[in-house]
Amino acid sequence: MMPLTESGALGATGASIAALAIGFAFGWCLERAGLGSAPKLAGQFYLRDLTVFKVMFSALLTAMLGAFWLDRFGLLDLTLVYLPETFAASQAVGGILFGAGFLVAGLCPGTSCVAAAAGRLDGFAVIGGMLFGILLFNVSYSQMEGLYTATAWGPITIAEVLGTSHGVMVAAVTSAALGAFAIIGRPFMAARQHAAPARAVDPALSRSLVTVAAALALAAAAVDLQAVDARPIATEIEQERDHITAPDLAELIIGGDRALQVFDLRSRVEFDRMHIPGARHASLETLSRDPLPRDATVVLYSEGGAHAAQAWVLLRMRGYRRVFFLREGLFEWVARVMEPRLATDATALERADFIRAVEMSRFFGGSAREGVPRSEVPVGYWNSAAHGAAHGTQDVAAARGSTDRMVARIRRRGC
Amino acid sequence: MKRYTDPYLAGVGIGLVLLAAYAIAGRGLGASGAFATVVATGMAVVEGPHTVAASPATAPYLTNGLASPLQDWLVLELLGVILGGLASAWFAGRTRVAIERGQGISTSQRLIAAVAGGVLMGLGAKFARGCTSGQALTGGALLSVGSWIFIASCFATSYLLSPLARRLWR
Repeated sequence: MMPLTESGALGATGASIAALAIGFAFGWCLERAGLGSAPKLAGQFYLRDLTVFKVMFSALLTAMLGAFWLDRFGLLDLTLVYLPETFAASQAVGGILFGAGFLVAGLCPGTSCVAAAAGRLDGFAVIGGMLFGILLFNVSYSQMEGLYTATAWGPITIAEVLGTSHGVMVAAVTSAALGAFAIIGRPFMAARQHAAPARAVDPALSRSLVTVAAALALAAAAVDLQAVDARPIATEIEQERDHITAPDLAELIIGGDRALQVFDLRSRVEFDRMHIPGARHASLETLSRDPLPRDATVVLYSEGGAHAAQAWVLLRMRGYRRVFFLREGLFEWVARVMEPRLATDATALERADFIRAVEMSRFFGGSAREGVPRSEVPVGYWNSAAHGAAHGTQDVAAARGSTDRMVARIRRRGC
Repeated sequence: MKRYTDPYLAGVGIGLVLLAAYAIAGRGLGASGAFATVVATGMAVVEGPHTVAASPATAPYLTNGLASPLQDWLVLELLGVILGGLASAWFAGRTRVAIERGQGISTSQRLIAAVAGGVLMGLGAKFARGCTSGQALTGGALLSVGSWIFIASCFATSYLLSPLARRLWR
């Protein structure tokens, strides 16, 4: 599944060659459209030549529709494609400065490179100015920092903000752009345009492009308005890809995984008494409503596991893909991370797992115990592979009775 | 000199290139990011790597430490843009040393405007965390909120100020 660099299908050399090839094709297309010429670009601002608008939005539509459908057909995981983070205020101000600069320079960063490559000295002048502008920002960063980091909304899409689905938004943007294309093609707009003659595209090809775009957009809205397909979710549950073990979660927390979001579904009172470090309190209601960054790794836990499992289904139905829950809830965290126990007759494998657990326990301020009678160590306690299968419900029920006592003990130590 | 390609067709071409970037590299196109890497590397050479790596303005652009910026994905991609632009212009008979300008200004005025515009765009691209390629196209097609804020504020400003710059582009 794509992206290739994420799946490791592409080595470092392969990635470098791909970068050059992609850039080459990009530069080629820009030059072919005439975007290496500043007066042609600037014509955009006086409605003489709408090449910039036409190129930009047909590119945007193509990539948007293509990405949506590749994702839907399971060929590309869109959550693994880098989504630029939103810093609303900084980007609004950046847009104002950039827009003014674009107007005066007649070239943008990409097209200035194309202009320079074709021998246009004004392209070099723009590049020089840009390098200086970036340097200016860097050396005076301390004065800019407040604005630069304000209103950090994270990686978020318009669909998430509006509370609609991605497909519906894709359809909305496509219809708006196709509508705009139609308007600028009308005689009253076309009369203003004195673009250098471009080879006009075959009208039949043009019609079929518009038809394909409209059909893909309508279908995008339609599939997203339909009920969510529950089958892949069922498969995930059957294949036990729905949960995470407490030690694995502990490693994510220790590793400082930025995408990690841990939610505690117990009552507020229980949450305030003790929770997994970094966890936030949530209810089924908030989880069914509030937007999360779409690339988030979400881990859910409750007292036992039922609520967390239900919340897991909710979030998966909402389209979040990396969602996991602690199968035995907070108990599992306490038993396997905070207070790991090693039986007197431990196997070598158990001992190896215990050593890992001791470090975690120390990190989170718990305490590990060695030399515990075998009867006090639940079956399947250490072997994470056998964990799900070997862990009988009886063990869970018996062990859970002691969660409260464990929590109380940890509280006394001032966790 | 060959005629230009139909803008819609060229746009579809760029869209497919952008889609390939998503599919291959898990990221989109960019231009200003590569310049930011060049500047950050230059600053690291002059001031020493520690101050540059400590500032949030430059640190993200030094991900390879002080290894050659040629190992950076965006820098390589921009190098490709330059080569692709050169090749296309060459085969279309459009390579020539010239200063392109509106008829109302001299070449030196054009160069001054180009530098000034470049400075503004450099600052703007830093605040926006990307330019017409990295934000408007790449983030726009992914429906990123910030990218669309950038698109709106960039074009609104250009059109609002365009009467003042009329002399530049007559």
